[in-house]
Amino acid sequence: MNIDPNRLTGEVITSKYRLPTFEYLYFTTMANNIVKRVGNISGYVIYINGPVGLNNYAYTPADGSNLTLWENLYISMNSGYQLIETAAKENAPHHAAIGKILMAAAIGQTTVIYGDVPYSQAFRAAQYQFPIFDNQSDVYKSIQQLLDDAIADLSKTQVPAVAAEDLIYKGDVAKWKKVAYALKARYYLHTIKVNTDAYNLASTALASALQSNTDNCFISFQSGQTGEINPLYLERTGTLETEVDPVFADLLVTLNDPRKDFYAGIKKSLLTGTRAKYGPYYAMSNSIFPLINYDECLFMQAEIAMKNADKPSAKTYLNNAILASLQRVCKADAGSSDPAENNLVKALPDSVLTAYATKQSNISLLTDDIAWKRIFQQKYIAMFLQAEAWNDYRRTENLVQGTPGLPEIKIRTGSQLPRRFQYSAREVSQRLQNIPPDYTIYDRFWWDAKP
Amino acid sequence: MMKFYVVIYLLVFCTIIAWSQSLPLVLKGIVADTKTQEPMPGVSVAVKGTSKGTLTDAFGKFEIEIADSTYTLVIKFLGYKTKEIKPPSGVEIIVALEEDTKEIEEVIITSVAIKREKKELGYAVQEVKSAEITESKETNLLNALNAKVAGVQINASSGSPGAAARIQLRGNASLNGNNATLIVVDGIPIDNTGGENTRTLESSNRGIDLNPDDIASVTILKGPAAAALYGVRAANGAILITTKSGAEGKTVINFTTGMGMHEVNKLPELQTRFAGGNNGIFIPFDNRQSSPAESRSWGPAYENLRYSGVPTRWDSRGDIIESTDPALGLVAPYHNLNRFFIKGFERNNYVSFSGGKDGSKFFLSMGNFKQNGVIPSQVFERTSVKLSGSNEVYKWLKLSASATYTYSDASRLRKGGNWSAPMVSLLRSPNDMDITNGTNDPAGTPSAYQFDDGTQRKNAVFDNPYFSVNNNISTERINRIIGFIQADIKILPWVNVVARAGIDSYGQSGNENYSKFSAENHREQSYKGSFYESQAYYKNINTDVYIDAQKKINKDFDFELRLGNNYVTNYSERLSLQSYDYQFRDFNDFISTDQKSFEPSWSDYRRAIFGFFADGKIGFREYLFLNLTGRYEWASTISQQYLPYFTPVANLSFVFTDAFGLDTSTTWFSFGKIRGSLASSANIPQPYQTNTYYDAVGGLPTGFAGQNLFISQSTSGNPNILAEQLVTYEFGTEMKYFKNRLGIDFTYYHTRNNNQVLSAQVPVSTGYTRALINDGYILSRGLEVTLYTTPVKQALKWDVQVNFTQMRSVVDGLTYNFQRVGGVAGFTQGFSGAANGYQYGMIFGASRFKRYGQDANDLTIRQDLPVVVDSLGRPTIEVPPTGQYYVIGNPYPDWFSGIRNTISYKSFTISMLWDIRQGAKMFNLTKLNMLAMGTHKDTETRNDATIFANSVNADGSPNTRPILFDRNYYTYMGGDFGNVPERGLEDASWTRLRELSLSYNFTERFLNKSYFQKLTLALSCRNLLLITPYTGVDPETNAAGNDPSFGRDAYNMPNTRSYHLTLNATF
Repeated sequence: MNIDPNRLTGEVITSKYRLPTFEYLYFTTMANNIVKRVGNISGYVIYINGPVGLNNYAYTPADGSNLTLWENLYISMNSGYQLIETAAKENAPHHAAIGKILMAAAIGQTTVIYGDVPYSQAFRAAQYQFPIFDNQSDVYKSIQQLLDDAIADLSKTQVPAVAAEDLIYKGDVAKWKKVAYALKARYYLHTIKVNTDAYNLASTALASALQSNTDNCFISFQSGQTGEINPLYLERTGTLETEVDPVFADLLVTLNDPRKDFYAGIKKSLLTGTRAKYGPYYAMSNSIFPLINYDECLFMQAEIAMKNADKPSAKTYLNNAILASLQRVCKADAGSSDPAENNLVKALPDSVLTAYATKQSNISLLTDDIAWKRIFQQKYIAMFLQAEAWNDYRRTENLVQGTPGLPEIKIRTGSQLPRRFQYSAREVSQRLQNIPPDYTIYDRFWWDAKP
Repeated sequence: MMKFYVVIYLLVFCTIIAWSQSLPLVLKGIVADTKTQEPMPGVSVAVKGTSKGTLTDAFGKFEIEIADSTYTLVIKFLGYKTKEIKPPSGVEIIVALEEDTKEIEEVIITSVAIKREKKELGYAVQEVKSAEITESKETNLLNALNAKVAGVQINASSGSPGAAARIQLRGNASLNGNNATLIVVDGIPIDNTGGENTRTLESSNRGIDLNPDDIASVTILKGPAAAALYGVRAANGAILITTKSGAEGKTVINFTTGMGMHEVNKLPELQTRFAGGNNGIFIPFDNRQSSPAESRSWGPAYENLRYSGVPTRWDSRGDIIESTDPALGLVAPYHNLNRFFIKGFERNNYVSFSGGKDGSKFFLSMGNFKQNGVIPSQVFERTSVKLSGSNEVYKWLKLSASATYTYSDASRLRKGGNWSAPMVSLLRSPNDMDITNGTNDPAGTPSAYQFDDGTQRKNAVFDNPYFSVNNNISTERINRIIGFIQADIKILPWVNVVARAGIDSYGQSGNENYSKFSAENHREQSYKGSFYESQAYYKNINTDVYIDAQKKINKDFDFELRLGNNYVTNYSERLSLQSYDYQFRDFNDFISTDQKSFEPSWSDYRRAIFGFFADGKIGFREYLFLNLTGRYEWASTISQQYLPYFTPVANLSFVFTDAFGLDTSTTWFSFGKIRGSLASSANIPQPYQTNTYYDAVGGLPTGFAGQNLFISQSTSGNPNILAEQLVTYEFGTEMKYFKNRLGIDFTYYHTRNNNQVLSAQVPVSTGYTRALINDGYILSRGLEVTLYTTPVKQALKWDVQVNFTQMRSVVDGLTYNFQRVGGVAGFTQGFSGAANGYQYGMIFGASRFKRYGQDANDLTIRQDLPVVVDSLGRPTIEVPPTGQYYVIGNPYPDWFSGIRNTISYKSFTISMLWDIRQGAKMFNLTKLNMLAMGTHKDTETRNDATIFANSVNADGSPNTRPILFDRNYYTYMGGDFGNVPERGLEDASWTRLRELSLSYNFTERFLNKSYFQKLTLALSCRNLLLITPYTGVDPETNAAGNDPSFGRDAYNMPNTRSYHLTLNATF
C-alpha cells in the first residue's frame, strides 16, 4: 500500500530509458549551465541580467548559479551512474559504454572547474552520505579508465543493439568509440604541465578519434515541447540573462570571421561590439550543441605537431581544423526570416571558407610564439561556447613567454583569471565528514601547477 | 415542560402507594436533564448510607438492587443539583436532574465522542459554546475559535473571502510540516487540508466547509494525552466538534438571517511626492509596459510635472512632461490603492428543524452563506444541508446517523509575488496614472483597463488591477459529504458496545486563468495567457468499534474500561492540466490555447492506520481518578518491521476539595483539583516515502526526440523511516472560589518530539539533493491560564473570561542544521527554518548589517550595537560563515491573550472580545520591495541626506557622513527585494477588539403575543479596533497561508473590519 501507484520505481527503468535521459541531462547542462558559467570566464559570454557580478568573477559558494551548476552536473551524473549500473545488470555493454563515455566527459567537466571532486563514493546515497573528494589526479585516472572500459565494451556485441534511444548517433557504436579516443586525447592534454608523456598519449589516442565532420558528437535540440527546445534559444528569447561578450564579438568582426553572424548577434546590429545576442548557429530552438568535434581533434593534432617542432604539419592540421570548423558552422543557412526572429544567415560558399582558412593557417612565416597564439585563437573561435578555452588557458601557462595562457582571454577585472570555482555551498555546508579544504578561486589544482 | 414535572411528581407520590412489595427489590429508572429532557448517561445512583451504587448507562437508565426497606437513592452528577428520592420499585421511574447554575458546565466530550465528567480528566481541555462561535461572525470555523482558548494560536491568512486559517495547538511539533490539528465532527475525523497558498493563490483550509451555525459545541483537547484514542492523527491535539441534534418533544424551528459589511482595515502607506521614473527622470507609460526596471517610482517630483494637453491613448489630458509651465495642467498623484477596495457584503440564512418522540429524534438544517470580498470578483459561497437522527429500536439498541452535504464555491485573485496580483500592482506601480481612467465603475468599464486591441491600459509592467479582477480569476468548487452511522448496543446493564462508521468525502475542482495580455510570465512568454484546471477527489473513512464497561465496585471505587479498535483510510487523487498561449482573446478555456502546450500532472495519496486501544479509569470516592490508555497502531507509511508502535498515556486527577470534605457551600474555596499526565504519541511520515521513484524529466510534456525520459526524484526515499515520537507531560490545577464566582485553570506542559522526519538537504554528490531521515527533536513548553469571574451578578450580570498563553517550540539535536520548514520555502532573503537552539519557524537570513564589536560567529542581530559604515557612510553588509544563517526574528508571539467581557442587563447583552498578541515579528517583504520601488511612504525623504542611524566607522569613531536613501541606496541594499532581511523585520504585536456584539432578546411579554419562543437581534463588529506598530496590512496575515512557514508578508491581501446584523428566531 505504501508504494505510489502513480509513479515508477527504479527496477522497471531499463537502459533503453536511462540512456536518453543521461544524454539529455548531460547536454542540457552543458548547453545551459556550462555555457553561461564557463563561457563567462572564457570570455564568450557576459551576464546582462541576474548575477552580473560574475562578470567580475565575484564567485561565492552560495552564488545561485554555482549551486545549480554543481547540482545539475551531479544530478546528470547520477543518472549516468544508474545507467552504467543498470546496463551492467542487463548485460548491455553498448549502453554501458555510452554511459561511461558521457560520465567521463561529465566528471571531467566537473573536475576542471572544481579540482578535487567526489566521484569514487558519489551516487551511492545509501552507502556514502558524505562522499569523499577524490584527488584530481585520481579523477583523471578514473576518466581514462572509464574511456578504456567504454572502448572495450564497444568491442563486444550487444543484442538487441542500441538504436533510436541513442539521441546522438542512433546506436552507431563505431562513432562512440571515436569519441572515446578523442576524449582520451582531450583529457591527456589537460595534464601537460604535470605529465611529460601527455602529448604522446594524446597523439596515440587521436589516431583512433574522429575522422571527419560526419563523426561529430552533438545533440540536436528540437523545436517541440519546452524540454526539447535548445536552452540557448530560451536564453536568447526569454530569460535574457546572458549574451555574447562584446569583446569576443569584436574579435570576430576584426578578423572578419565567416562565423561571426552564425555565432553572434542579429546580422545588422553586430559590428559595433556593443551587445550581441546569441547567433542562429547555437540559439535557434532546434540548434545543436556539441560534445566534441572533428575540428577539435585537428586542433589537438596541430598543437602536438607544434610541440614536436613540426611546423609544416601544424600548418596543415590548423588549416584543416579551421576549414572543418567553418564547414561545420557556415555550410547551411541558419536562423529565420520570420519578422519575430529576423536572424537569417545564409550559407557561405566554399571559396570564402577556404580563403579564410588559408589566411589564418598561414603560420609558416610567423614566429613560433605568434604561431602558437594563432592556433589557440582559432581553436578559441572554433570552440565558441564549449568549455575547453579556460582549460587551454590554464594548461598553456607561459607556453608563450609573457602570456599567462592561451588563448588570450580578456580578463575583466584584476590581473588574472580565476583558476577554479569554490565548491557549491549546497555540497559542503551540510557536511559532517569529508569536508574539503576552503579554496579561493585563485588557488591552483593538480594539473594547473605553476610551471 | 410543566407536563413533565407532573409526571415526576405523580411518580414520586406513587412511591408511597406502591410500597408494599417484599425485599430484595430491584429499582429501575431513567435519569434525564430537566431542561433538554435528554437521558443522562454516567450519573451516579447510590443507596444512601451503603456502599451500593451504580451509574446510568448510555441511555440514562439504571437498575439497582436494594435490601433494606428504608432506603434513599442519592442521584448525583457533576454540574447538576444532587437529588435524594425514595422511588417505588416495580415501575420504571424518571428522575429529572436540574442543572446547578452555580457550576460551570462540567461535562466534556472527549475522544471518540465519549462524554466524561471534567473533574475526572487529568489533562487540559477547554470548551467553546455555540453562541461564542456564531457571535464571532467568522466564515471559517477556526477563526471563530480565535482568542477563545488558551494554548491555541489561530491565524487567518488574510481577510479575503474563504481565506485559509491556520491553527496550532501548543505550537509546532513536527519539522516535516505535519502540525495539523485533528478536527473531529461527531466522532468522525474530517479533512482540514488545503489552505497552503501555493500557485500564488489563497486557497481555503477545508474546515471552512463546516457551517458554524450547525455547531453545538467545540471541545479542544490540547495535548496528546487528551487525544490518545485517536493515535497518530491527534499528535497535535484535536478539536472535537459536536453538531446540533434533535430532542424529544415539540418540533423546534430555528431561523437565522444575517447580513454583514466588510471593509479593509489596514493598508501600507504610499508616498505621494514623486512620479514614475528613474534617477528623477520621468518614464513615459509606453516604456513601462514590459519592464519592471522602468516601472519604478524614482521619477521627478509632482510639482515639476504637467500634462502636455495633447490627448493620448493613456490620458485625455496628454502626456506627462517635465515642465513648470503655468499654462499646463498640474499632475497630481492618484489614490489608486485606497479607491480600489470596495465594501464587501455578506449574507447568511439558516433554518433548522428539530424534534422527536418515542425514542426517535431528528435534526434538519439548511444554510446558505455568501460573501463578496473587498476586491471585486472575490466571492465565497457555502451551502449546507444537514440531516441527523436517532432511534431507540430496542431497549438495547440505539441507532443514529447523520449526513451533511456542503457545496463551497470560491472565486479568487492572485496574491503576492505575481504580476497579476492586485496588491502587487497597487503597491509597486507609480501613482501617476488614474487606473480607473476617470470612470466611476472601473471594474465594470473595460476602457478603464484595456484598449480596443485588448492590450492593457496600465501604468507599469504589472496588470491593471481592474484587468485582473475581470480576467485573472481562479475558482474552486467543493462538493462534500460528511456523515456517519452508529449503533449503541447494550449487552449488560453496565456494558455497551458502540460501533460507528463515518465518511468524509469530497470532490474539488478548480481552474485558474491568466487571460491573453496578462503580464504574468508563463513559459518564458509574457502576455500570452494560460489556463489551468484541476480535479481532485478525497475520501476518508473512519470506523470505530469499542466496548465500554462502567461499574461502581463498592462505595469507594468505580471503574470504566473501554477496549476498541479504529481503522482509518485516507485516499485522494488529483489530476490537473495546464496549457498556454491563448489564440483567441476572450475565450478562456483549453481549446483556445496552443494545441501543443498541454501539461498534465497527477498525484495520488493512500494511507491506512489501524489502531487497537484500551482505555481505563479507576475512580476513588469521586475525588481521585486514574486514567490509563494504551494504543497499538499500524500505519501504512512505515515499513512493516517497525510496526506496530505503542503509545501509552497515564493521567491523574485529584479533586482535593472533595477529598478533604471542604464544605463548598460555606467557605470561599468552592472547588479545587490538581491534575497531571504523562503521554506519548507518534507522528507518522507521509505516504510512499519508503521508496525512491522516477518521474518524467522536467514535468510533462517532455521526452526528447520521441524518447521517454525518466529521472529519479531529487529526495531519496528511506525504507527505515520511523514515526516521530512525542513524549509529553503536563500538570495543572483548576480552582473555583466564592461559589464559583471566580475560577482559574492553570496548565503547564512540556513536550519532546523525537526522531523528526526530515527531508534533509544532503550533499548533491550523493546523487540526490535531499534525503528523508529521522533527525533532531523539538522541545515545546507552554503555560496556559484561563481565568473566569463574574464580578457582578445582579440584574446586571458581568462575566469575564481571560485566556493567557505562553509557548515555545525549540529545535535541537539536528545533525543537518538549518533546515527550511513549510511547503512554501520561497523567499531567499529570509526563510522559515529550523536550527539547533532556536524557535521552530524562526526567520533566518543570509546577510546582515555588520555591527561594531560583534563577533562574526554570533549569528544574532544585535540591535543594541552600532552599525559599521563604509567610506561612503553606507552600512556595511556581511555574510555568515558557509552553512550558517543569521537569526533574523521570531514570528511567534512571546505571549497572547484573549479577554472576553459579557455584560447582560435585562434583555440586552453586550459582549467584547479583546485579543492581545505580543512580541511576534513579521518579515515585511512588501515594504522592502516598496522601498526599492520608491513607492513606500519612507521614500518621500529620498532627497534628504541623513546619517545612518546608530552607526560608526570601522574604527569605532562616530559616523559623520550623511547619505541619501535613494534608488542607489536600495540598489546597494540588494535591489528589488533587497538583502539584509533585518531591514524588513517589524514588530507585529497587536491589541484588537476582535469581536463586539450587542444583542437584544425580545421579552416574554412580546413573545407571548407571537409565534416565537425566542427572538434575538444582534449587532456585531469584527476587528473594530486594531492597535499595532506594524506598518503593513493587518499583521494577522501569512503569505503561505495554512503552512508552518509563518510570519511573512509578501503583498498579502489585506484583512477586513466588518459589521453584522443578525436576527435569530425560534418557533
